[in-house]
Amino acid sequence: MNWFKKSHPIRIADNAMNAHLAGTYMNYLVFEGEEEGSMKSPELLNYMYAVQQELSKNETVGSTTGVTDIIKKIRYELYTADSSKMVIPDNQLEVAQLLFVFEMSGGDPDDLFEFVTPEYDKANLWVQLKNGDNLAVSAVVDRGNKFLSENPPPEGITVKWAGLPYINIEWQNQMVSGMQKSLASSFVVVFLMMVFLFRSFKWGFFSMLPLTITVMAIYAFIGYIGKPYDMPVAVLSSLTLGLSIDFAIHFIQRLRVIHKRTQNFDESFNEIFEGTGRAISRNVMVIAIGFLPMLFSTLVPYITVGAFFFAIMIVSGLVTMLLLPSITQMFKKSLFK
Amino acid sequence: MKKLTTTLFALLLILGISSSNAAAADATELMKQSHLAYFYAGDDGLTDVNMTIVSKKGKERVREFTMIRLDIEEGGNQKYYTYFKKPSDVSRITFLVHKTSEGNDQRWIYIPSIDLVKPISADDKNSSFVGSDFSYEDISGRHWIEDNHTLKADETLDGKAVYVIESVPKEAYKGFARKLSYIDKETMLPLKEEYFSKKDKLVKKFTADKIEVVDGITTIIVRTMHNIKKGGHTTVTFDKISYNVGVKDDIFTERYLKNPPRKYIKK
Repeated sequence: MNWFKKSHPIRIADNAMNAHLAGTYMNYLVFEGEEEGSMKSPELLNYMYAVQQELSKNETVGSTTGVTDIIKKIRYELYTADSSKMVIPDNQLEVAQLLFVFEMSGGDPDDLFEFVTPEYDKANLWVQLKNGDNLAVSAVVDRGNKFLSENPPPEGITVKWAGLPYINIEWQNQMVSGMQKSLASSFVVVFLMMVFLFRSFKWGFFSMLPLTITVMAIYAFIGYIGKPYDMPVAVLSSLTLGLSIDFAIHFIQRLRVIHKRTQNFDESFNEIFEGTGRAISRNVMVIAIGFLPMLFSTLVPYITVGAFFFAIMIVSGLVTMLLLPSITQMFKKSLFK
Repeated sequence: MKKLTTTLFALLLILGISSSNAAAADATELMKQSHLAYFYAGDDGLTDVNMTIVSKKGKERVREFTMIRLDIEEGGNQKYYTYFKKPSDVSRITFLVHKTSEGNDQRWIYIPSIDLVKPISADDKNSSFVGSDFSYEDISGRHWIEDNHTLKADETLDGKAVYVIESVPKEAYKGFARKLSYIDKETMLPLKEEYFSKKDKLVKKFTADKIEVVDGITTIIVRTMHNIKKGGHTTVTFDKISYNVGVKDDIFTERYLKNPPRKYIKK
């Protein structure tokens, strides 16, 4: 949902709905028993209720609904709206009979089976969230998991999370750590290729500077403004790798070719800024400006991509054009023997 | 007002009852006979019932109960007493229905674990009976006057001559928009029923799977309701059936809900 701008009607509508309703993000906590009927046990039901109370302490949780609430409601109705009876009975026979009354008293049996299987071996606790943000969902999941590990469920019962918001955070975690790994490994591979290409460890090292500085600058900025590391950012960092190394190869390769011919450092520099330098700066400007229209999109990821592409191009262009020449100047003796 | 009625009556006489009206009347009469054969067999009836609910995924749930029926009036009011035996955690639950031909049925349930008799809502007759694919109305019958009936065809079904009758509810009804009944001409029992939704899709199908003569009354021993819409089906098997046993009216009361009549109900 945060992929829409704050002012976008869809996001406004989502906020309004979540403020007034129990929450539009449905998460589930699945209780699984080993045998049929294990969901009728008062011990399990009281445990489920304790989990519900714990989760409700998180402000993102709009409401929780489970077979526990159905049982309490039936009891309340049977005892002519006596709210003191709105508790889970301590006798399994009564639980079974109350649920049977529910099945007898009309309505769609599927209403009940949203929360428990017809065999009563599994139950599904609805955890409605007001916010689908990964951080918010993670906080709810962590709170639940902490409670579950500190207060283990009754013998033979396993409890698992399910639902789209939960899948989202799992997916994001997988994706982000996957992206981080692939980014790190491509960084190493690119470095080795550079050393091989220039047949020089030093040149290989310097050629990595533009992309390293650019990626670090992006991450620093993202961290500074507090933007979560999500998919668009992950993709962008990989792109930076490719774009920035391009500039560096271009610059270094040309410089070496020219220098071989001129054997004069100042002359080489003049020549490279005339030709390759101009080409790189134009490349930077064209791509950077080309992505600017994305800033006017309603979808936040598009804005992110547009803004970051602009920044990536400018930063890596500047590093290539300013830092690389200064460094080569400084180490010219050892670089060009 | 009286004058108007007389005039209308006279008009009707002059015009005569049209042939289509005659057919409708016939279909209604056939439906009534079928209803009496199916839901009002004998003056009373006693049977053990096994109800096996099979889900779409093939999982089975079994309910066993004894059912006592008393007809107060042939084709009219009836009383049903149900004593549950299985599943074991609901055994001794009893259930009472006073069915009226006007449609304002009354239902009570006795919950032994808390020793409580409670009236329960009887508004939705299309709702599921004990979580099965049969609705309350499939068990105790939807009164034939609530639908318009048309005789669609005379056919043969599994070697038996049947009437195919189409029933359309007079007032919009959740249970079905149209129903086709295949009624055995000889016994007047429904051999098959097909329920269609508002969009005219087949949603439910009833089949009479086994028919026997008990105490001189032809009875459907095994019947199945196929839930086409959701998948799955429920099969109902009658056992130890007896008719005209002289059931007394007083067992259909709250007192007997708590203390089941041992004469008819063996644990």
